[in-house]
Amino acid sequence: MPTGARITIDALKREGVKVIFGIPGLSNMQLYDAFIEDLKNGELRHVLMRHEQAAAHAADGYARASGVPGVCTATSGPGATNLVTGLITAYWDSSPVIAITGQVPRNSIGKMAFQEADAMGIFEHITKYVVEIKKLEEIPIWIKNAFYIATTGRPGPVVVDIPRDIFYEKVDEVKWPEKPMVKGYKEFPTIIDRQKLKKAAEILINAERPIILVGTGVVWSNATQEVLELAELLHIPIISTFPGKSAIPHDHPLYFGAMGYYGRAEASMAALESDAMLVVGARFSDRTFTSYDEMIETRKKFIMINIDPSDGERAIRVDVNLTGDAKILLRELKKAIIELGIKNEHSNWIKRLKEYKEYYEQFYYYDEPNKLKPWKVLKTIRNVLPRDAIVTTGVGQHQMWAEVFWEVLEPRTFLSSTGMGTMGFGLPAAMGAKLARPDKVVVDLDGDGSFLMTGNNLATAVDEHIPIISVIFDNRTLGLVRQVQDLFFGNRIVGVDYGPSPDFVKLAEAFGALGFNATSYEEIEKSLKTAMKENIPAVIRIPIDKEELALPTLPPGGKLKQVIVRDPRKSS
Amino acid sequence: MTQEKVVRVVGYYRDPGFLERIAGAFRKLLMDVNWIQGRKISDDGLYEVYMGVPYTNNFDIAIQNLSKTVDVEKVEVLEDAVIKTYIIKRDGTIVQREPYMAKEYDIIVFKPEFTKVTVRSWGIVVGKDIY
Repeated sequence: MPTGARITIDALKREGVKVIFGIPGLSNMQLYDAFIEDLKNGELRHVLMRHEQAAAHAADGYARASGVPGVCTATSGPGATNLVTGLITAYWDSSPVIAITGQVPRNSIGKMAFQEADAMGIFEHITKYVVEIKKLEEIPIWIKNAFYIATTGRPGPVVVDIPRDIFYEKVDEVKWPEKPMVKGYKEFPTIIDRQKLKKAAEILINAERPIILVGTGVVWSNATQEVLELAELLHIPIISTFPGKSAIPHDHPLYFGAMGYYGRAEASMAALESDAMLVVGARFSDRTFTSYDEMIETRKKFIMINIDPSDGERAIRVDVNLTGDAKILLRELKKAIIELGIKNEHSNWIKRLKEYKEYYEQFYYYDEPNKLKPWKVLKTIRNVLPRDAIVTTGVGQHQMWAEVFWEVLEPRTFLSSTGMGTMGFGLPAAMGAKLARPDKVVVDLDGDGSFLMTGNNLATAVDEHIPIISVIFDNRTLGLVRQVQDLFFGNRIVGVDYGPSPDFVKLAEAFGALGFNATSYEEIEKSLKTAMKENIPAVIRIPIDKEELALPTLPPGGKLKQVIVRDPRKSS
Repeated sequence: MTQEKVVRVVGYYRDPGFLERIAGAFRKLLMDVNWIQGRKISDDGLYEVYMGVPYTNNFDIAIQNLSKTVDVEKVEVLEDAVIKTYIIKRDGTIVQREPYMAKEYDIIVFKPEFTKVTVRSWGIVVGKDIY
């Protein structure tokens, strides 16, 4: 007779789970006992993380790199609460993660039991859904439902909280559900509305300065090819949100970069000057459109393709709101355009954007002797890595440099915490991505502040033979905060600068990883090649001047047209 | 005086978290709830919850979000609702009075009267009925 724990594992395996990231404890150790044989026969792999936050990020990285849900587990109480940051990060970036949390026994719940935390109360507002299992028979259907909820509509994390006494219970016969059954849940539909499609096609055909803005939805819908085909058909330039970077190969001649708060100035200018914007798989986030009024004042027409029907009803009035899967709707839109016939070549418009690009490049690619410039570091790394290498980031200045300068060449190869801005995302997400795509080189572009938030998981990477490379932009400061203090708080620098600890090379070596101190572009190249060849976890520390700024930027609360592209300290 | 909007939420109760999620949809947008009343309406766990919500600019977003909450089948905005309040006194007599006139242990029932309903389910407006 299978136990509740065994049924849980079997239910996960039935959903195709191969890897579980987690840490065992009093309330989930029954799960571990149940999957020992699966580990031995290779049907499952468990990755013992050093903190549950990292387990959630690793599952998130696994999901983003593979397109299928990542799974993590934690015990009750502190184990569950440690998942919080990781799961809200997945929620804000629409990533399907399944978390199985152990709970104290049913007769102890609510009695301030040892390691008890109210998982329902904690997770119900920071995940797509959380369910408390009340009896053994519910496990099969709710594991299936969890995967269904996590992967349909706007993807997101789901928590299944299971009291540990249920893990011990046994049942004679397990009824495995064929289909999910969630009352009060509906997948967002794909609505093919011919009239709306025709109207959208007319807007794009008649526009003089059309633009396509792509977001993460293009990645989840695997609609990169459809976006490119539409752009090429009408000669429409493409820009992206920050996470939408991962959708479009940056060497495509129609791509002009990520727009927004720290985005490329030419992309933001393209967004402002366009007279029609096709928004695909993106919402109007305050990080992309820093001022809704500014965007409304352009009087452009907006067409939105989004899986979430109400995203087009929010801050900005959308002229045509197409609801559903981006891949399907883009194909239908292309058909509608072909039926109506193409009118404009948009060559002047594209020429103008190229001029913008050339103009801003003089500010971006500014070199200084005896300093490692972030843009040049990233270019060096890009030249060494294979085209399909997966890159994750932490959060901070290095992330903003990556937004502007990292060239994504294959879809789904750039993973960053863009919605929640969670420091510490880079390393564990890279580990998850590497397990999802073991054939790919995976590099974590990180900052010294961000890396140390979850850097203890380097031990896991070494122990578990997960050969990721962390490249640390080491400026000994919380650079993005420092930059704001410097530029907008009257140079009142406080609470951001670090001392000499730690020595990242020694730290890496203490964990059993390779450590490199790369103080020139040649050393960066050489250390990367060595790390890839050795195929074990590595840390490459790169010294960056703490006065270095992440540009372009905006003043706090600023509009896109207020973009700052040169160091204001030097002009004064 | 702030205009009050009347909302009817229909969804499947699995645990009291259902009510927390409904309330949270307004709390997260810095909105208040004036009153709430609800009941089970079917044997398979379908509940209806009526709420009086002071209108703010965030109202539409709250309704959209609520309509996309797992367990929630649909959200109805009773567009032109006028609330009549009935006081059920301890002895069972029912009178139409203002809520402040109720005494301890009296029960107040908020009865909306309306002609227009906008129905939203999983982000989509599925009905806009005029009775």
